[in-house]
Amino acid sequence: MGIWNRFSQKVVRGWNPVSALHETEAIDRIFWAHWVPTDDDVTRESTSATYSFYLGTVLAVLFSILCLTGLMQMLHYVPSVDRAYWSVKDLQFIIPFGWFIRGLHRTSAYLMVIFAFLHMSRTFYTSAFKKGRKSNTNGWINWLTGILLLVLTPAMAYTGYILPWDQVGYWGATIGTNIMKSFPVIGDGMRQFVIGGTELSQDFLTRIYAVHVVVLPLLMTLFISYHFWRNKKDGGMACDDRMQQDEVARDRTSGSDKSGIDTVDTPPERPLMFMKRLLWVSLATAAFAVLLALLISFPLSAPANPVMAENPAKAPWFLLWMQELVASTTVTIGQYRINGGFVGGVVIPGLLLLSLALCPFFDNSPPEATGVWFHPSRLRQNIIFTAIALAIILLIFFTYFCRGPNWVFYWPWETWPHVH
Amino acid sequence: MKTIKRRDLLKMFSFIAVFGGIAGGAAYAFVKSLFPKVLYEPPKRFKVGAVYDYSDGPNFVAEHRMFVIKEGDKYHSLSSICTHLGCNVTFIKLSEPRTVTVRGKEIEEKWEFHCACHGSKFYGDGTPYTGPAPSPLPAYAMAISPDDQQLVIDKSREVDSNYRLTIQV
Repeated sequence: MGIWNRFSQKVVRGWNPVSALHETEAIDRIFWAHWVPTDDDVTRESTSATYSFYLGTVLAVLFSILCLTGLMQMLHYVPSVDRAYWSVKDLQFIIPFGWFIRGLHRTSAYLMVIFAFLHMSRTFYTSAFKKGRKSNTNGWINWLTGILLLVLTPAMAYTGYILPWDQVGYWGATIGTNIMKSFPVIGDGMRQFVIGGTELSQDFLTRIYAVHVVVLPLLMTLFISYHFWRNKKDGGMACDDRMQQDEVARDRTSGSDKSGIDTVDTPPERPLMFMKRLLWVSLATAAFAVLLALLISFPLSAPANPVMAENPAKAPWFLLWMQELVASTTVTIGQYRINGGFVGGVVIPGLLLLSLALCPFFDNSPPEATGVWFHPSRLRQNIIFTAIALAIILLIFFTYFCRGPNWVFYWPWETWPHVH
Repeated sequence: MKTIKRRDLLKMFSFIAVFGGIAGGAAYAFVKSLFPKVLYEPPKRFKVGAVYDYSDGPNFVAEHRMFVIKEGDKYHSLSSICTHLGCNVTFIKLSEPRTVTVRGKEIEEKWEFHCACHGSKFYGDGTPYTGPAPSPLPAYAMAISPDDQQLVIDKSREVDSNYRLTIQV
């Protein structure tokens, strides 16, 4: 027995299957695999790449990379308004491979925002949130947990964006905290609570730092763990639920019992195959993030200048759609003028999130639609969802390419005039 | 009907009183600690220099994000913080004066204030006329310091946009 095999048997697996049949016990026996859905209630389709695209796995891997690269950056970053910028500058230019660690952190953060959106879209298009017809499943709980994670992900990216205390971070924070301030009645108090005073200063940076490196990652870890656990308790992916229903329907029509061998419902012959797939997806994700980090550079802007914002001062790309909304949704009702910060920054995103959260309770498509990509009975829901998703994506592109100095519209091919 | 013994009820109340009180007190302390008693921030009332430091028109006082506007012997101040989402507005001198109607009153303006962040524009008196800014740039009370005759701005006292401090030199 080679050294690797011996190491693997003693330390990694702790147990060595002797046959394919024996491998079905792998999930329960191997510590590293115990969180994977067991072969008792997971079908082959549930582990198929074309059903889920392993988007959740990709996200978990990206989060792990973020934790690791974040930890590495914490060793160099100084959360002080006087030194934060210069410590990030040192990280970028002085610390060996600091540029890579920072680049990988940013790339992974941006990929995480993209993949969280894709993951949510996948769940919507397959109406996986409907899962719950089986007596022991609660798909809607995982959908709501997913929405929490969908909010936490850009929240982490946004708080991280502020930390270098450069121009984009400082003005991003100014705009973000003023959106909070635009909240009627309690806005001022909320802003003061968040920034620890009335102006962005050391207290605010310290709080954002604590939130970014402790509070949000802990919440993410908690909810990701719960998300996984819930999925396992719910018996894997939503397509399983549909299959079981198909089976019940078949039994009802044919009157047959469950003694016949059903090729679809046969447990995977080799559950470790699933583990291997997870490993491959993880490695591919990490490799992709590393490649992007090598190819894309993330320059620092100038140090924060509280007197002069960059012109145009643009939010991080994933918040550009909200920036366009806050810039164009100030409304006048009678003698009152309602700040676009509140309409575009709180009301519209809040309503979108609320609609998402209510999906499982108002989607009246038949059970057959559960776990099926683009089921015909959900045409209307899918069209509305796609329209909103496209509108958000288009707004991001529009704001990125068509908003120039002083927030004036320019065609993407037009040159912006030089301002301050 | 389910009954509860007096002893159990008292036990439950005692439990809630003791541990609920401790938990509630701790939660209150945690939240309260996030609101500092003292803010080490620039004072709301501050000196901005002698009157002869200022030339006619808006003068930007970067340290306080304020404009001190001099019109002959009349002075007033406007905040440079955009009322939309807190960016800094910049002062734009018009090539030639123009007459605009603000709240039904015709005024001649020689300058405007523009915000780079989301395109809000304000007339010379701070009234927004285009873009997302929902309200005028705030004007603050001014005074002359009795000790060294410097101009003083009091950001804790917002005043009407017609407010002017007249100083006979």
